[in-house]
Amino acid sequence: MDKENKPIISSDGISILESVENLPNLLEQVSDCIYITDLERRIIFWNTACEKVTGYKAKEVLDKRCADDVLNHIDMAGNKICSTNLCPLYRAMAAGQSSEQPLIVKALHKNGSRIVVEVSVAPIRNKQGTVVGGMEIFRDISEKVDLEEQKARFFSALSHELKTPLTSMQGYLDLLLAGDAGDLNDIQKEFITTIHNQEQKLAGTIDELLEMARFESTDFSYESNLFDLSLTLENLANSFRADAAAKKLDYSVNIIPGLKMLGDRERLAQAFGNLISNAIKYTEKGFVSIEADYNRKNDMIRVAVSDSGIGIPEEDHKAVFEMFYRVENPGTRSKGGTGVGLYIVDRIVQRHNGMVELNSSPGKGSVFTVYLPGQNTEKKE
Amino acid sequence: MEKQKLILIAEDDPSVNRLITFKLGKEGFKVRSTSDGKEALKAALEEDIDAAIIDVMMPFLDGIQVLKRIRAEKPQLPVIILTVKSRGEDIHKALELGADQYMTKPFQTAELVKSLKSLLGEL
Repeated sequence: MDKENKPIISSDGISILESVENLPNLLEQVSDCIYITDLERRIIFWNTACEKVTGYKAKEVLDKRCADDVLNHIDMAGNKICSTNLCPLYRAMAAGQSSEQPLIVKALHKNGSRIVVEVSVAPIRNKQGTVVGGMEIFRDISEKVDLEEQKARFFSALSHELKTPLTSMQGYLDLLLAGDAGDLNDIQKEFITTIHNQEQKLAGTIDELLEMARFESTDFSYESNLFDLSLTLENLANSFRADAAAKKLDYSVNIIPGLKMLGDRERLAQAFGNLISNAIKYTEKGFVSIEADYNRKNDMIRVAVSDSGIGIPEEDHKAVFEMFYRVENPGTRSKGGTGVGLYIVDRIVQRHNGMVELNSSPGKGSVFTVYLPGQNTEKKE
Repeated sequence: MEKQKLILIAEDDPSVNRLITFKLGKEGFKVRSTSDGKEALKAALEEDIDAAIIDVMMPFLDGIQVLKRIRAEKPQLPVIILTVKSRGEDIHKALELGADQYMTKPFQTAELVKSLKSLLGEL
């Protein structure tokens, strides 16, 4: 059924709604902050929750523009959103569409401080279907964000505590196996190789568990900042150069400079990091390549991570993006790990309104292609 | 014979510190071992070192601060950041501040040696 024509109120509902004295009264009472503007983003409605969270009384803000130092949203990195074409309300009214994902921004409190709020917006239409205004709903999530930061600090400390002993173990085993501490006899070599392999498995599992913990603890909030994806990818690609070199892989990086997008840079770095590290992990010889370019026609950024590794059979193409794919299917791949990496990739890309495509077959390598909406600052023809 | 190159190691974990010191010694380097950020910075600025391998989470001064201060005075000194921190943001920051190489722990000792030699133009 066409979304536009979908009935949203049952016939019973209409009679209930008719008995509601007036809608503004109802909107007054809810605990989420709700305000309504006209097309110029002049505030025409401001509920009690807005008053509580921002410190501004309705009478102080009515007829003002939300940009006139009332909310004055900035993104989490401090960049201006208000009065730019990134303003969620402006976008919703211009596109005639409500926001797909709630946005995390910082709103201004009357006392000058900034409150972290989760915002969703919708255009308001008259009976003829013309957009005549917009509604923004937001809630204060400062406490949630504090908790998130505490969790992130905890996981960072935990990660340090787990990885430092592993670093020593791997390092000394490396030295023993390289003969740096004297020659080993065959049995000693065999045993130490076994310890080394098991240590590597453990390290892989710990990596994935930490990754999952980090992902889950912050999954609810995505930042939305304008950033240079090319730079992020270049740095990321460089940080894996040593790993690729260790396996003597042909490692090529072709990234068009200046690819700008709107999103959570850290999250996307996590996603692309997973793709690159997988490509290297599952390729014993040949190449790993990272490419990024931009399609002006549909304003989409394309990032492809290709390898000449073991590949994935067609019947598993969907399943690899499911959580714990490998845990539930032991032996699917020879390397250890729990299989959360691609689930995280898919999830992060989807949250950026993008998609992941997989081309692969056993023995022929894999190509993971990620498409993400661009944010071209140049005018499009 | 060429003069032995002097490598600064800044690593607070004693066993990792000894590991790197031992391996670099085997590879023919001289090592100046330090175990906190302050001591590392002092050595980096005052002593005639040829390269530095720096951990991030260290007492008194973290490795990123050490890197920043080194870059202000010795822009050409090869610096490898060696850390458990593997978030994109951490890598980005270190490289932006002028680290020549970013390696995450656990690491392969052979790779560390290779990176170091390549930064010193020995490969």
